[in-house]
Amino acid sequence: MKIFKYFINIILSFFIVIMVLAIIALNILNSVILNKEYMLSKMEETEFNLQISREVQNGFENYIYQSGLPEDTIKDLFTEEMIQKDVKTIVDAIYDGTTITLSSDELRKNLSTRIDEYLTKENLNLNQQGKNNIKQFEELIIKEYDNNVNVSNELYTQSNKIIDNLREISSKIGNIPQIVLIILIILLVLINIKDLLIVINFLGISSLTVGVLLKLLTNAIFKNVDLDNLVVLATSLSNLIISIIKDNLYKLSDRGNLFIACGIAAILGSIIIKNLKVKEEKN
Amino acid sequence: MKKSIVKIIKATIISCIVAFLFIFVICFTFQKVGKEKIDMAIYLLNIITVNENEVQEVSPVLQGNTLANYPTYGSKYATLKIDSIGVELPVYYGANYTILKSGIAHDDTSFFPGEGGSIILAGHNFKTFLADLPKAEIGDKIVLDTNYGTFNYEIYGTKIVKETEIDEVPIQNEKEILMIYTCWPINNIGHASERYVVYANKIEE
Repeated sequence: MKIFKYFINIILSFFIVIMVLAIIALNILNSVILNKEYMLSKMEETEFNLQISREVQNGFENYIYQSGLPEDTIKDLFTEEMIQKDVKTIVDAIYDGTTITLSSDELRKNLSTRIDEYLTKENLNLNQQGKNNIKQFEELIIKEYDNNVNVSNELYTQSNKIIDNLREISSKIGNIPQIVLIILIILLVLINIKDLLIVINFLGISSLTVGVLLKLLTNAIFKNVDLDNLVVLATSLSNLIISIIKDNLYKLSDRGNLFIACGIAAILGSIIIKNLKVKEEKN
Repeated sequence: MKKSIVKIIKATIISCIVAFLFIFVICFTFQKVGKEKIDMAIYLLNIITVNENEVQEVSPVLQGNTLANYPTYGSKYATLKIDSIGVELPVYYGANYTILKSGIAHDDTSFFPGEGGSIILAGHNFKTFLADLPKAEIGDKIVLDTNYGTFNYEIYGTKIVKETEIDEVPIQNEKEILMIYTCWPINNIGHASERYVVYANKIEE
């Protein structure tokens, strides 16, 4: 009977481990992947907008050098606010499925004004070919801006679909792991109602298991994947993804430490108290 | 006292064994069920990682018609000299914004000097770069002073082509031909949709 009870305790604590892991996974899903505010804060932290500005400016330089126009033409052509607004549009598109509309028209207007001013100042009368070249130059500059801000339309549309699916999964699962976990703990308590120290001991075992698994997982990722040098389409996007992954891996590792510490404390505590109790009873 | 310590240690060890049994079962199941997917994920992630520190610079060596130890992408490996128009510019392997700002770009799909194929070089048409390229004449000499040898060429033709006419700078490996191009017209305003190309044959000196 005692062995049977011990076996049931082991099975219950095993399922407690599974439920805790499921809760952690769901927590990451809801607070990181599906959390728009978290993404925006991470973008701010990794200076996402500034990186995009640099990438756009670098792209512009390639065209200005061969255009015969002065470098001032592309200097401060777009503002930080424009980038911020456009990046926000993209984040909205990813999370809410809205259409991506960038500030290209404003940029085009600014660029046209500057070129016209230069041509007037230099008293340059362009023939049809020259006008076409200017038009083509403007189109390339706009395209450069669009491509750098909206790195991949396809990627963002796909991301929106994935996010929608994940939201559906998350809402379907809901609080099931938490409820199952509570039921499992209640069952563990009911089985060991006469000796609650056994409950603490098995909860400690579960906690230690979760902790070690989290540490193993984070260490395996850090060891096998060269996260610092991950490249995803553009520097701005790569830096953002690297920062999110590393941030969450460190958080998981810290949680792992906490679970291990709690597990060891529960195991040792329950065993020591039980030992002292047995000693007292004997006396 | 000693007896109770032994008891505590024994009970702790048993608890730890149970915990590690759980870990083993979960890891084993994880490995069995998703090993291929995990390996694939790690493989894909490592494909999209670029560690520039790992790239070690090794000097290129020409063995017959093949270059051993290609220069690193973005590194300077030669100097382009066209004495007749006073050009002396660094040549970098690869073509991107940064390279074109620094000097002459070597199209990474073309061959290297000495390999016996098409060598395609490009540069901006600024005054300090290739603005004078159209002044170079047939018969003028071009020197590519690389870090594995010096190669001489003689201009045999020039052409103005559309930027889309890539057939005008063909990649082939039957004859060593140096092709240098820049945007055309030189004093263009707006997007330059044409290229001025200089063709040169390798000459032995």
